[in-house]
Amino acid sequence: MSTSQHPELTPAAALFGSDLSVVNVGLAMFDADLRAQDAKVSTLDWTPPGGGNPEAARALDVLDAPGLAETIEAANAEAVERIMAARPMLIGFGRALDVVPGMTPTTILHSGPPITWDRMNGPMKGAVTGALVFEGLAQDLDEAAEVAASGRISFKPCHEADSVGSMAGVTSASMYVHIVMNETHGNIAYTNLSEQMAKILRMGANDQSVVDRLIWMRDVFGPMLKEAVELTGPVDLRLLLSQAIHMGDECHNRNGAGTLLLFQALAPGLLQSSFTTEQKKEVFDFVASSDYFSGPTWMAVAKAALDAANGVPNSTIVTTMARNGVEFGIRVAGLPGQWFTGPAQQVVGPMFAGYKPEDSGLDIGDSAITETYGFGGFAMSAAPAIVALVGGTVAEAMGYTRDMGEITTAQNPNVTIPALDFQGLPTGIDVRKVIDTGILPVINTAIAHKEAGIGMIGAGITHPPVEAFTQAATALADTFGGSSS
Amino acid sequence: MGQAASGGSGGTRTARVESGDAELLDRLHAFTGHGAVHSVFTRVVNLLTPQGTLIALAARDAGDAPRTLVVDVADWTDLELVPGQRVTFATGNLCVELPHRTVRLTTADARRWRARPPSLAHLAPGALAAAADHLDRLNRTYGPRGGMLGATPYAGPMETAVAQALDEGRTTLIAAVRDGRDAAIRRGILALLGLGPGLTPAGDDFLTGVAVLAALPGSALTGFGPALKAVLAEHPGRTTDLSHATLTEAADARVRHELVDVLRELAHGRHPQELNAPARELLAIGHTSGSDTLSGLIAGLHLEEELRGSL
Amino acid sequence: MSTTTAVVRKNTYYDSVSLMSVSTKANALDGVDQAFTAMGTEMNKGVLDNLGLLTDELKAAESGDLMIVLVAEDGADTQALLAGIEDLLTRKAPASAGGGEVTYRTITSAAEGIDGANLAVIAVNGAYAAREARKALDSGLHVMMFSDNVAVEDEIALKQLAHDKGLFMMGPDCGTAIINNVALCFGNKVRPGNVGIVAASGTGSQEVSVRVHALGGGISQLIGTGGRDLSEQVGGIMMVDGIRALAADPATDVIVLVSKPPAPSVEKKVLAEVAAAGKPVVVWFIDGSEEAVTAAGGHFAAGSLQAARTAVELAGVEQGPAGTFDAEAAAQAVVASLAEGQKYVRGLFCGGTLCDETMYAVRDAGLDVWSNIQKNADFRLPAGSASRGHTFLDFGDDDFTNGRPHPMIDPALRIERIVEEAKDPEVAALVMDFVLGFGSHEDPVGTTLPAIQEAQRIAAEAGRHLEVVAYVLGTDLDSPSVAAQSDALRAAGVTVTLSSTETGQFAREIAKKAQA
Repeated sequence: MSTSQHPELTPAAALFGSDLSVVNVGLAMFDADLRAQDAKVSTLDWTPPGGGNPEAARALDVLDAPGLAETIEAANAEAVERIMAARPMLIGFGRALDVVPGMTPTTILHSGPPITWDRMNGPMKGAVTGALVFEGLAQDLDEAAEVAASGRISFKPCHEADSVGSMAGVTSASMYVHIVMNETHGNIAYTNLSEQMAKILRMGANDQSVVDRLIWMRDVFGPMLKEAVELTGPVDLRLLLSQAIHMGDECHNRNGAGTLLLFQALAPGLLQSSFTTEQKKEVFDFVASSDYFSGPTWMAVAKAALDAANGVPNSTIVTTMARNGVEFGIRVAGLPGQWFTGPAQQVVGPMFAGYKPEDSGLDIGDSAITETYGFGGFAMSAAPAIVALVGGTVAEAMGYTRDMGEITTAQNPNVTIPALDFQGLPTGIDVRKVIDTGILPVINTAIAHKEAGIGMIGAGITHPPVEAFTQAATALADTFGGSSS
Repeated sequence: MGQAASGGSGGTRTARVESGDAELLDRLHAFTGHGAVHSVFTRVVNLLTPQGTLIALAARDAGDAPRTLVVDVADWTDLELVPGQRVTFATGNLCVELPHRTVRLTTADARRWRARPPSLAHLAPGALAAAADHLDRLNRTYGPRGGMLGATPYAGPMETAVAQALDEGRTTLIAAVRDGRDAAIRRGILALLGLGPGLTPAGDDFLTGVAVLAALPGSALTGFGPALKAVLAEHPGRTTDLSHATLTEAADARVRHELVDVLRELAHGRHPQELNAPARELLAIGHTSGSDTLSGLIAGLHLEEELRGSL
Repeated sequence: MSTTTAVVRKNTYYDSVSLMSVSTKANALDGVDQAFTAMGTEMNKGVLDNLGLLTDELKAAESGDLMIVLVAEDGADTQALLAGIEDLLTRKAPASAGGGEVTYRTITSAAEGIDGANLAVIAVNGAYAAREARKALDSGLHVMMFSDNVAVEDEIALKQLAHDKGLFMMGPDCGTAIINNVALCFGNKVRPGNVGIVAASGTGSQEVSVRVHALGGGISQLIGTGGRDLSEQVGGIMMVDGIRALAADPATDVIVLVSKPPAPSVEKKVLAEVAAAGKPVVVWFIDGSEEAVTAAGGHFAAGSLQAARTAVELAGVEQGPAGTFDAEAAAQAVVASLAEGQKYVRGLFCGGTLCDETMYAVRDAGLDVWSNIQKNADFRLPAGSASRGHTFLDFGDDDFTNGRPHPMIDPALRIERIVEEAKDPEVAALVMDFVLGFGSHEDPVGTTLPAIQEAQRIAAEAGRHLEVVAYVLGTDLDSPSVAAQSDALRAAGVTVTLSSTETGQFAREIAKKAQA
């Protein structure tokens, strides 16, 4: 009976025969005592599961039940494999009306989970009214507000139209969008073009200069990009993303390298396009005016990859994190079509001169799709230069990526981080792990002014509300655990 | 605090001094007696010697510097040193007495590090200018704002005011060194000494960069060294103890290894690109400290160029 | 209008990087308009002066002082903001990216990331403890679970899981262990040696380890099981595994078991292991019976001191001259000084087993004893009720701790009770314990002495002698040492006993004679 008959050491004998090395959980005073005895000790920065919410802990217990746990593991492995295997290619640009499924002349797509006109915040209302003027559906902003409230406009989340939209995410029929196809699984994702400046529609700005720029983008910028890709052929965006991250971008708030790479890929086509030299120079100048040019592109990459995991049965992997300025919503692979929401959070970070935290609108936009895929805030360690912008230290940036490893399922071998010894992006946020560890995803993002019409006033860091994950965990437990409980 | 205290464990912990400022190692035997812990940081602990001078104990990777012993420890946090604790200086070792144990540092095997950079007198004026321009570009590209490079983009009025004062101080000092009169140089030094945020105020870091150049054999910045030494002697309270000690050493051409490495590369006179690596190391010091020191060095190099040319 | 406030920290130094990050974070606090930190040099003060922000306090700052200047928004609570900034300043710097120690967030990642990690100490709220323990076991770590309020079903599942993996699951509610000469949670610094202990009782095992040390012996391992291990439901899984581990351990020559008497079915299982151990096993089942132990080939011990003595003898250690305490003679002297009506002993204990041992000694003299941990429900005294007759209170029991730190850490409740008991004219003697060692209060005697003196004064003013008896559980290696704490007690006129067993004997003699 005694285990000592085994040739190799029993765990007890191994313990007695080696130096004690303690993982200390809960009481810091033991840390000092153990150190005083020259024992090795590492005290955890521990948080109770679900931030101490008993409902979340209960859901977790259901999902951890033997049998179900293995089913979920297998499903998650498949979901993550689909995300990592996805190969998003830029195959073209086109008018939303022509390419985005379900688009009509009176459809307005917006960021985040579903929201009605009356509940939209300032920046989103500003963007909607600006878009209505741009589309000729209203003469001016006042009339646009009436039109928006009239019920004649169909509001719909970008995410429910295979799209993503940065900040307010407002996308209307004649705006040009990226067309990004996931070559591996065949699905397509769409996203708007960058308006570059700070005072732009997606930030809620909507004066004549904003509308004029949208018109130019519709008539010159979009069509020229469309021609360019037709001339050069598809562009492998996952490859560019991986290069950009090697060059110090995290591809959410820092896009300098990615923009150069994308422009390099598009430049021959732009040059060969049928537009005048003057128009080409306008386009070149416009791209050069802001590093953000490629920002939306990377969002579409993430969307195209994550959508491939949507609907994997029994998976607890998060496929969407998106905010509409009022609510933060997530969606989970195993519960397709359902949103789990909580209140949108404040973004903490440095503000532009003259603005204060109370000026900021709450967290908004579909750009958290980048973190859902594993870059943005998750890849801060790849972009130490960004820490000044969002107000942190390089050590914290390294810590963010490490912490995100705790709530994800795999490391993406296709997109790696040099500073972490070429560790892959932390990929596949698992609702169970978020609840279990109490660690929330970290999101790098811009701050829009809370009033319509002003625009971007800073950048910083935020997290989803824990409620969204608690709701998701409960729904997962109800759905998957239903038969066994 | 109502919290249980850790039970102590007695005894002595010994750590090896890996390397040290050769001049300090030579003088250590003169320091027998009791000193005290002056200040404690994660990577560096400062001690007051029995004579009241300040010396530093650096952790393994913190690097050599004047008046510094580099000790084979990862950092100092474990030892829970507190300012004011007694330090016994004896021949071949020094001991810090903690409530539960004694920490003994042995200096017997310490590698001797020389803090003095080589002279730049052999370089042609054109080479100085090229190097200065290149360093300036590096500094502006990689140096953090908040000190000599100006305020950070969204700074409040206090930081902005400090940045402005630093800029004015620099202008005053450069004009004074150019002018060459002692009184003017002293005024220029006083316009920067102790100015700026941080433990070694940005103005002092700038002065360090200028001071080390001026102290090198063959420098054309002849008036600067004596003026700095005089100001430091006459105004001991104008800046922090630590900064005062750093400047005193710099006036004697003794500076930390990152700055020595930049000066060594300068003395080689190779392609300016070769400066990239040592300059990046220098920039990594403190928050803006490295960059502010580099700003001083750049200003000094421009002055060398000008003043040599006028001969 | 905003208001300017300043703090000057004398001779305070910070790394400039952390200072800068404090500024950044301070600016982010709610209600802060702007915050600025810098050393108090003339030049920096000059800049503040130009901005009209140089308060008198800042004027007085010297170049070695840190200035924190805060411009708060109108109506903001500046004191709270300053406290917030101070907090930022005192907060430990985060581990650096390279070289520094990594702080882990979960057991799983710590077990993966730390080469050689082999044991988890879990002291989180009982509601979460089982989850964490499962993660630790799944990661191949042995577990010591300090947490209590864990469901018995969870305990069984965890112990079964640990058993299947060959790992230790010490606890829940396990307060003491010594593994490889390192004391975990509450434990004393004792000599390494060849006596191994498996114990369901924390202070009981502390007492045996300390006595073994005092007799010149040493401890190889002290494995805790948690108080419920020997219940019918749990079935002694950990004690059985602990005995087997020590039986297989070449460094252990003698095994000591410490526990309350097990449930009958469990006792059978445990004694079967005793018989099969292949090494001498000393069994101290507190208030237990001798026959079964002897029948199984074990060495029965009636008390902690006997357990230690037998173990050291069997271990082949030459016993040092142990101090002895003539309980009967000492009690005779005490009783002679008592006034009319002083007839009861009141025991106020931190250690549950120490309370048990003294209480049973008094009961075995045929006297009624009242206690919050009495097995006999007729004599049970809930926390909060006044003492009656001979009363023995365990302040470490759940009724007293309920939301408070254990009295070994925070003796406040017992301190109040000492003064209260002194007012009772029927009280002849107060008996108490002081537990030293890792985890315990840094100076339990020092913090209790004023109350003892107050108690003595109250009795003296009423014309009574109040005998105060104390036992200090600890070793010469503990900090503070047992000698230092005992000396402080003796200086205050307290009678200091030399073991838990003798404490019981002394209490019994006083009780017998005083009540007679």
